[in-house]
Amino acid sequence: METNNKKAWLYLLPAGIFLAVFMVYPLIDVLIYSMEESYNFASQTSRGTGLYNFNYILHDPYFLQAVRNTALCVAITVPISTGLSLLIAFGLSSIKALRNLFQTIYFLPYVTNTLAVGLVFMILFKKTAYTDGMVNLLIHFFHGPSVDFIDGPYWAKMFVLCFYVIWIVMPFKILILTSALASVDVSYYNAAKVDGTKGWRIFLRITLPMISPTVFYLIITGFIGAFKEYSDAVALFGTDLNAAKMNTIVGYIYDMLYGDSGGYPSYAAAAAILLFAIILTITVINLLVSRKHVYY
Amino acid sequence: MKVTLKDLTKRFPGRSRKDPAVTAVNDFDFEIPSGELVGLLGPSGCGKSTTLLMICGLEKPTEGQIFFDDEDVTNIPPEERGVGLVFQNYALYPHMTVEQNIMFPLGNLKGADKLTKEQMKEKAKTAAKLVQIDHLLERRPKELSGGQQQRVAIARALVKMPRVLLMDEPLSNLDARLRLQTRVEIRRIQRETGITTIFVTHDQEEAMSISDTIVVMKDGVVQQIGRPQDVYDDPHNLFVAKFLGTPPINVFSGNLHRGKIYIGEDEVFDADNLAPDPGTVRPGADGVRKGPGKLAKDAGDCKVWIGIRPEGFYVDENGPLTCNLKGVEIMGRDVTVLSEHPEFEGETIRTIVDSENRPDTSKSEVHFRVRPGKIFIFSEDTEERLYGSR
Repeated sequence: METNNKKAWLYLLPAGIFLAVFMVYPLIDVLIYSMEESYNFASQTSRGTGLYNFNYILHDPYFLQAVRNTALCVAITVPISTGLSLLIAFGLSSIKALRNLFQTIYFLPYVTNTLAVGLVFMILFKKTAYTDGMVNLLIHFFHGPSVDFIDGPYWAKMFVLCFYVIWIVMPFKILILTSALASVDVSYYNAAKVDGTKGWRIFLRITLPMISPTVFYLIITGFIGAFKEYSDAVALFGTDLNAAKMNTIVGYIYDMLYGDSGGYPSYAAAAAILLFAIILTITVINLLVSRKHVYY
Repeated sequence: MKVTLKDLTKRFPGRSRKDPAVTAVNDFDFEIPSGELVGLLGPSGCGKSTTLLMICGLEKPTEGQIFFDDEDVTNIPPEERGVGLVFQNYALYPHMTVEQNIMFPLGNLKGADKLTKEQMKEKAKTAAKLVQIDHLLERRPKELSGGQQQRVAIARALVKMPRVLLMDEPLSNLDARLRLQTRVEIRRIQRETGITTIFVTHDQEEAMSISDTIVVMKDGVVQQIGRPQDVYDDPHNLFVAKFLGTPPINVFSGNLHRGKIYIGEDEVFDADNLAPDPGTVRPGADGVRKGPGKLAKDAGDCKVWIGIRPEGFYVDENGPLTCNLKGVEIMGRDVTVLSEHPEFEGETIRTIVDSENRPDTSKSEVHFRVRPGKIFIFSEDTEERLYGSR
């Protein structure tokens, strides 16, 4: 037993070393940075330890803006994208004709580059000297006032960002949900049919509970992914997100490290720790809720 | 509820142009009397499950009609037929308790039939009591044994008091001991409720032991319908004879010559002891036909299949059938004699004799005499039965 234990540790060593160097050490380092006041990379010095960095960023309007944007983005995109994916996946599994074609179409955004998609959205939404963008043409058609989605009002920009995020995360969810739906044994549906169960009751009482582990997985990863939202905002609004008032928490961290106003690793570290705390809290809440509603 | 199947046919379209359509069930014509337990029996792919699904309404027949009493239900969806179906894998909803599972069909009732929660619980309790699982109502299917799950499935099918209860291979997922127990249980439940019950099985022993009537099918065609004992004693063709009975019937290739039956050089049976085919009208490979009369002394010589039930032999020094003795298996009251014969269709002839009648194992040969009533003669090409012994 004793020798076996040693052997086991030996086999775990390579992975362990990698994890220690690239995961554990940086994590601890970030925690230390976040506690050091005005840490300077060049001189490797700081002026003391404490919660000053947290105090600073929590009073930084840019950070608060980023938190608001991120929270809004999470609250809007996670339910909508999951619900919509469920609907589409259910539709896909119910049709026979052209199913593969539709599956391919729905999966396309997944293989498309984020920035390329950003370009497409620019064409759709951006106002330039030559055109108002496709969406505005549509609005004009219905005699609505034109809206500048990229440089215009806050709600318009938020709408585009959420639209973009939902569109880009859905293919993966649809794919996973389609396979989850396909794995539900058909005899459950037959049993329900013989008993005269109506469609919506089958969906709520049988289908949904049967695929609940998958839905739950998608909700958790959806939350985490949305909290880490950054590249999509850059693709739409450029790198100066603070100016566009569309910064996210990860964007703020990046700006604090490398942005034009950057060079503050301590603030970045403090923001990262806060983000970690938020995600952890949400995930724990998710897990607690899931105990009642997920059936394995 | 009397169930009548009229010229029921199901054809599945071929997958491609080269792939021809498959006829799963062909011209099934049968009337099931009210309150009977009927076993649909046949090897896999014979169309028995398809027949069941058509009665249930999950499959639509290509041709033919289905009646419950005098009501034509052919085009009525399953939920309006009033059938209960027990699935082979039970299809219990894993996320619901036993009680919720049994109550689930009741939750679909609408309008005047709508039940309160208390009424539903009451009905579920009654159904659970009937199958003796009322102490397990709070469990989930995962926490139950196979036999218990089976009972839950039956309770769920019964809770709405269906007009017809259908079971698809109800016992195939159980171990041997549970199977014996459960089949008695099914019989009891069916008797208690008096619901016309149709079940599908590939296990002849299962079908024989509990059915009032068995229907033997092969390649979508009904081979024979009758009381289990009648079908066993009076098989209409070689397939039915081979399919029923454990150990299976021993089939030899033989000759009819001058009214006598020969296996190789041995004259095993005399025409005087042969009864003619009962001549009942029945569907056969060559359509409806009547059997020939008594085997006459001057009947034409021909090659035939000779089927002899394992219990149709007894060991006799002067017996006409001589086989090479391979061994003896002692089963207690009975003895199984294993032997070989060049005209035998398979490898080893299995015969069951009384232990007092066992052969002398020091010899390499064993002589048998054949009991009347246990020998059947089948045509070599149509495999239809020509004669049986009295």
